[in-house]
Amino acid sequence: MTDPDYKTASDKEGLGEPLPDIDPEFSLSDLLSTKDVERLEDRMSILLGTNTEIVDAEALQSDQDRSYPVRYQICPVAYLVTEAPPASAKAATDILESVLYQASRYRLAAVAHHAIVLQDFDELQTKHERLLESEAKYRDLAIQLEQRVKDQVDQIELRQRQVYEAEKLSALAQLGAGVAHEINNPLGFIQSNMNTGKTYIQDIMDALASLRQGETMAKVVESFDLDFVLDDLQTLMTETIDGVVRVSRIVKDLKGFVSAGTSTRQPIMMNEVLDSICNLSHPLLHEDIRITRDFGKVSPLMADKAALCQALYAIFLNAIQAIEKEGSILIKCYEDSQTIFIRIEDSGSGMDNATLAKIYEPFYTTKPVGTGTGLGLTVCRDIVRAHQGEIRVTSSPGEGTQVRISLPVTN
Amino acid sequence: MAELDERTGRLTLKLVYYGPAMSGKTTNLGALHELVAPELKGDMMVLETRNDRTLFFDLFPLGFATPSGLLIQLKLYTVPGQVEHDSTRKAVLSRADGVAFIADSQSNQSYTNLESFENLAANAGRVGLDFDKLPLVVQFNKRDLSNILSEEEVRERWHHTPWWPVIFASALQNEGVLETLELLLRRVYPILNNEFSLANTHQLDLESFVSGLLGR
Repeated sequence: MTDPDYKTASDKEGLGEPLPDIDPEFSLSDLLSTKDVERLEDRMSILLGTNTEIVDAEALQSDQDRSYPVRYQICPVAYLVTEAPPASAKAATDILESVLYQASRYRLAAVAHHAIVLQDFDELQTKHERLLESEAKYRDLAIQLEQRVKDQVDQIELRQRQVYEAEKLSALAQLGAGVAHEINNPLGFIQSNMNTGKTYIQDIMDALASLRQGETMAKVVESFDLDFVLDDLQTLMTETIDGVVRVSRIVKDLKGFVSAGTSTRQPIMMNEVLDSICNLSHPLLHEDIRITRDFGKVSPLMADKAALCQALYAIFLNAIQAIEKEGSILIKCYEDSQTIFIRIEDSGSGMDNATLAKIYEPFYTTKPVGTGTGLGLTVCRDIVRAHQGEIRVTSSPGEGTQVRISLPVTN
Repeated sequence: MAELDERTGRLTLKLVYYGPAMSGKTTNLGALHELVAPELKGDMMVLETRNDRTLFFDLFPLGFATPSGLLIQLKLYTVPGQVEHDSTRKAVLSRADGVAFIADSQSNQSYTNLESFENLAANAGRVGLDFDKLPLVVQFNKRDLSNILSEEEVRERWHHTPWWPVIFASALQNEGVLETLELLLRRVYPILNNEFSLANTHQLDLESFVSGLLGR
C-alpha cells in the first residue's frame, strides 16, 4: 500500500443503505422440499432398520426423546427422531448435515446472485435515469439553441437592412457627385459667359457715350469693335440658354430618383426613365464606351419611380463597370403582350458560373470595397418583384452580361 | 450491524475479510478453521470458481453460548478480490461489524493494496457503514515471501493511522492469522457491548468474548 490516506466516497455521496442479507437464517424447508425430506426419511428408515423421522427444529415437540440435532452452520435446523442405536443415529445426522451443506451451497449462491443482479439492475436504472435527465437537459439546450440561433439570425437581418440603407445612401451619394459635376460644367461656362457679356455691355455703353459726344458712327464702330461684340454676345446668349436647358434637364432627370421619398405608384414612361439614367450616367462614361438606345413604343407603367430608377441605374452602372477599356452597351426597351421588356447588355468582362450563382446573395461583390453600386442585384430583384416583374441575368466570361427585365403593364 | 434475535436467543456478528485479489483472504479463513476451537464450529462454505478464485464469498460460521444462555454466532466472510466483482463485495460488506483488510506484502502490490483499500472505504459508505467508525484491522500477509515491504516501511506508512498496529502474517503457515482475528474482535467488542450490554446483561467481558470465539 503506497499511502493509507484515502478519501471515502461517502464523504461525497453521504451514507448509502444496507443491502439485503446474503446469508439469511435458512430453515429446513428453505433448504429441502417436503418431498426431499420424505424421501430422506424413507432411506434413513431403511438404513437404520427402524422408523426414522426428520423433524423441523421449529416443530419439535419437547416430549420427543431419542432425537439428534441436525445442524446447518452451527445451529440445529432439524432433529432426527429414531430408535436406532446412538452411533448409527449420529452417522445418519452427519449424512443429513452434509446433504444440507450441499443444498445450502446452491441456496447461498442463488441468494447472492439474486442480490447482486438486483444491485446491478438498480445501478443500471440509476444510470438510465441520469441518462434520461441529461438527454432532457440537452434537448432543452437544443431548443434554447434554436431560439438563440433565431435571435442571432434576426440580429443579422436587422444589420443587413441597416447596411442596405447605408449602401443605398452611398449609391445616391455617388449619383449626387456625378450630377454635381454635370451641373457645375454648364454653370461654369454660364458664369464665364455672363462676365464676358457684362464687359460687352460696358463696351456698348462706352460706344454710345462717344456717339453722343459727336464721334462719327464709323469711327465708334471701329474703335469699339462693335460688330464682333454684338456677334459674340449673341453666341454667348445662345450658349447660356443651352447651359440652362442642360441644367434643367439634369434636375428633371434627378427628380425621378428623389421625387420618391414616398413610394407611391405613379404612371411612368419607361423610355424617359431610361433616358434619364443614361444622361445621369454620362459623367461616369469614358469616351470609348458606345451607348446604343433602342426604344420601342411602350405603355405607361404604374410604378414606384424612384425605386425603379435606382434599380435600373444600379444595373446600368454594373454594365459600365464591366467594361474595362472600350466596349458598348445596348439598352433596349419594347412592349409585347402587355409586358414591358428591358434589356441591358454590355460587352464587358462577363462572369463565370460560380460568380453568376452568387449574384443575388446580399453583399456579394467582385468590386473593391466602397466602389460597389450599393444596391446590388438583390435589391434590384426585390424592386422588380415588387412590380410583379422578373429579372434574368445571363453571362459568360469574356462574352459580356445580359440583364433581362420584364414588367407587366397593369391598369 | 450485529443482530440480536430475542426469540432464538442468538446474537449474530459478521466480520468480513477484504483485500485485493490473491492477497490470501480465503487462506486466512482456512487457517482459522484449523486453528480456532470454539464450542460450535461450522464447516467452511466455499463458493469458488474452478480455478480457486472466490466467486461469491467464503463463509466460516462459529459460535459459543454465554453463561446467560445467549448464543454468540460469528460469521466470517471473504469477498472476491477481483475488480469486476464489486457488486458482490458490496453485498458481502453490507451489515458488517468489522473488517480485516488483508494486504499483500509484496512490494509490487502496493498499488493494488491501495486501490482495494480505497474501494473498501467507498463501498462501506455505499452500504451505509461509517468507515471512520468501522472496526478495522490491517494484516500484511505473505511475510514468508522475499520481495516484500520491510516492517519498517510498513510502519513508516501506517503508524500514524487509526489502524496501527497492523498485523504481519503468513497465512499459509498459519502465522498471524489468529492475532488478526483476535485484534479485530477486541476492536469490535466495545461497540457490541455498548449496544447489547454484553458485560452487564450476559456477564460476557472482553476476555471471555475473545476466548469464547477463539476457543482458548
